[in-house]
Amino acid sequence: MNMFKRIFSAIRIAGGVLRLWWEQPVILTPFLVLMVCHALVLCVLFLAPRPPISSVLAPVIRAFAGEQFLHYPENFLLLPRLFTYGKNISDFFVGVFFTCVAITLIHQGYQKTTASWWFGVKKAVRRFPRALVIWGCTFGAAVLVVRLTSRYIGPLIPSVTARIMAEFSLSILVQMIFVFALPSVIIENRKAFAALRRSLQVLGGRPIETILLVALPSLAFIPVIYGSMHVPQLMQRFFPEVTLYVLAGRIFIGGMVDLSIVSGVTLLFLAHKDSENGQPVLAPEAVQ
Amino acid sequence: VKRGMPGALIGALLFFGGCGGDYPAEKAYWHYARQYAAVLAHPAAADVKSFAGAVQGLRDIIARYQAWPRAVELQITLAHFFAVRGDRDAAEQELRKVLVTFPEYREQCAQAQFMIATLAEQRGDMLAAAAAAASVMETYPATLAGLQAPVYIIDLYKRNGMKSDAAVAAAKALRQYDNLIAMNPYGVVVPQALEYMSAVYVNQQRPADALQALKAFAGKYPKSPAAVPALLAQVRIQSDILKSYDTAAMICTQIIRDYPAHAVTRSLYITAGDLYVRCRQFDTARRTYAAAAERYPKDSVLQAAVQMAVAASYDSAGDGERARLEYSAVVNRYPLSAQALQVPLVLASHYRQAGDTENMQKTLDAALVQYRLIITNTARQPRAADALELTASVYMIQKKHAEAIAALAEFRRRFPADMRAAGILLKTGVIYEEALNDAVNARACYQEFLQRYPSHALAGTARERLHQLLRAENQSI
Repeated sequence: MNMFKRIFSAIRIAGGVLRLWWEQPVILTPFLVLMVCHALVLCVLFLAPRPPISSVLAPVIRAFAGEQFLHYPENFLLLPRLFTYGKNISDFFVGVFFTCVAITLIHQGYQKTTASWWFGVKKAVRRFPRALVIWGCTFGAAVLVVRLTSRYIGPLIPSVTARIMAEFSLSILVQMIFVFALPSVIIENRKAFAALRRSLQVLGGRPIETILLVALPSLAFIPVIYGSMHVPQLMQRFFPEVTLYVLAGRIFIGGMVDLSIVSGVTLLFLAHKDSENGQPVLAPEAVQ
Repeated sequence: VKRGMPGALIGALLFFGGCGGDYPAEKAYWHYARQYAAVLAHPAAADVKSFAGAVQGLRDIIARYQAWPRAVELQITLAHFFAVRGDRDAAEQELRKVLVTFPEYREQCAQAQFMIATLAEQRGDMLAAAAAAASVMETYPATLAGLQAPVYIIDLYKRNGMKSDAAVAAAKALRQYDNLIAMNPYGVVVPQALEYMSAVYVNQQRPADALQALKAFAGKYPKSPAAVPALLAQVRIQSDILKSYDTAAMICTQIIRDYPAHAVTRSLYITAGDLYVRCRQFDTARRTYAAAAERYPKDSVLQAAVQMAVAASYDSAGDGERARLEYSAVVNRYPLSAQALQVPLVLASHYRQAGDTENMQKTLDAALVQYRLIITNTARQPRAADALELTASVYMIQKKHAEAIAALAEFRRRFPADMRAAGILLKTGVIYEEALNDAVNARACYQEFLQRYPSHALAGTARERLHQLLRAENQSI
């Protein structure tokens, strides 16, 4: 396939995603639940300096960050870092599960059957351990690449913004390598490492479409990164609570980006699978 | 799920809404402090409307959050507001509220009672002042203000030319301190009591008695938390007053030997070594430094400090060549230490003193390259902030004032929350004013400083400089 056909194919997939959301809005609900979970994490961390939550979290914050971060307005300086940790933990336990549910719902929608939450939950529970392994591999690889980059390549890049953007781009690249593994586990019931191999295979067959479907939605995250980088300045210029707006934006944009990537990638995976089975590429009704 | 969701949401909202503690009080005070920053920084100069608003705001916070531990401090601040505006009666009234409303805060009550004494003195009623101060010690003996009060009374008598009364007060103060220490030699206020006691002795020109009392305490109660402070007080008297550096160094060595696990022991090696250097016992000094390095091989901060101290000891001994070698060792072995960053400036000053301008410039240029590397490699870490500050210092030595200002601006841009950011802004203004004769930019810096950091310790300096600039401008007009 030449470049234009691939780009056109990615556009058709994106169109298919929008149609699928319109026809089966239930697909959006796992991500909504995930956003609510992240919002709850943010609420708990925001209220960490206050009793009764402080009885659990204050000793931890005091030990690792210092007493001053339990008081207004310094607590807002620590909040983004705490939220990153909280979000990672919630992603590990809740995020992976609901992503599995979402993939099942998208699969059902693609097959033109009514998307059923209960079916998705049952499937997600059964395949959750494998999904966790894949999430762990993706997260570990992304952290490793970012750490190595900041250690060895970072010093060569004088601008801090440019360095952060480089790290962000690399983390997207890592994500692309593993992005088809979860659909492979859920849809094809593969073992974790077989799914990782399968992900590489699909990526090799559809590189341009994958780049477009993963990188383009991820660009929406750039304002969030920029905002997170400048939290102290924003606090000084406006008011300390501006941190909450930045983090709320991060939850919303992060949720939308996840929704777009998971939907697009799952549809691309299904289309690729169909083409492997001899059916015309992007044949199913869902993307037509 | 549909039925349970609203209930869960309402439950979560109620739970989150019920979280309280001191946080709302902190928030209310922060916003208050932001709104009335100018009044808080300079209550005497505030206009009547702003002052009334600030007072009312403070009263509201105190009334609303009375259980907040800082409420009592705010009540004292309120009294301070009135006191600096000369309204002593209102100030005293606010202070008496502290005694009535917050009796459980003994430290603050003692402070309030002490302030009542100073207000009486300002009114010219010396006897009332002495009586109020005496009651501080009697009512709140184990508080900081209670310990300060006797010293205040002695000073009050002295200032009014009543030397015999001062001597009587001193004798009484010493007795009170003795009693307090004897009552509970392991108490938390004993270190301060010893400190004030030795201050009274020194004030009475009796340093030998101070030394004897401190020595007796350390010998009698070696396990008291005040034993090491008592020995350290002896070090200070020996070195600062009696100029007996070798004795001071020996006391340091005694502390190191007898209290090896004490928090001050590590730094005492350096102090002892420095004292030996001052009495020109360079070999003993270096042996002391070496002992520290040997005892704490994993403490890289101490190791760097030791290496720097060794270099400085050669410097003091007049062995410039060896000193330079040792300074180089600081840079080579501990390149990211605070001491390593200082070395180029020390070496440059050596070259300047020797009239070697060429080597001075080379050293400073190399330092700039080193600092830039650190700034790039350590990004947002504190060491990068150190390097930026030193970069500005190097440019200042090189008389490249514009570059120095750019480095300082970069510091403020990268580290706006750093404690030094305020000082850096003031420094920028001073460079504009003194080195570049740029009154407009200097004024802008001072104004920004006062706007951003109204209650900073350097706010007075900034205000004074701004007033001078404005006066000069008015005169020229």
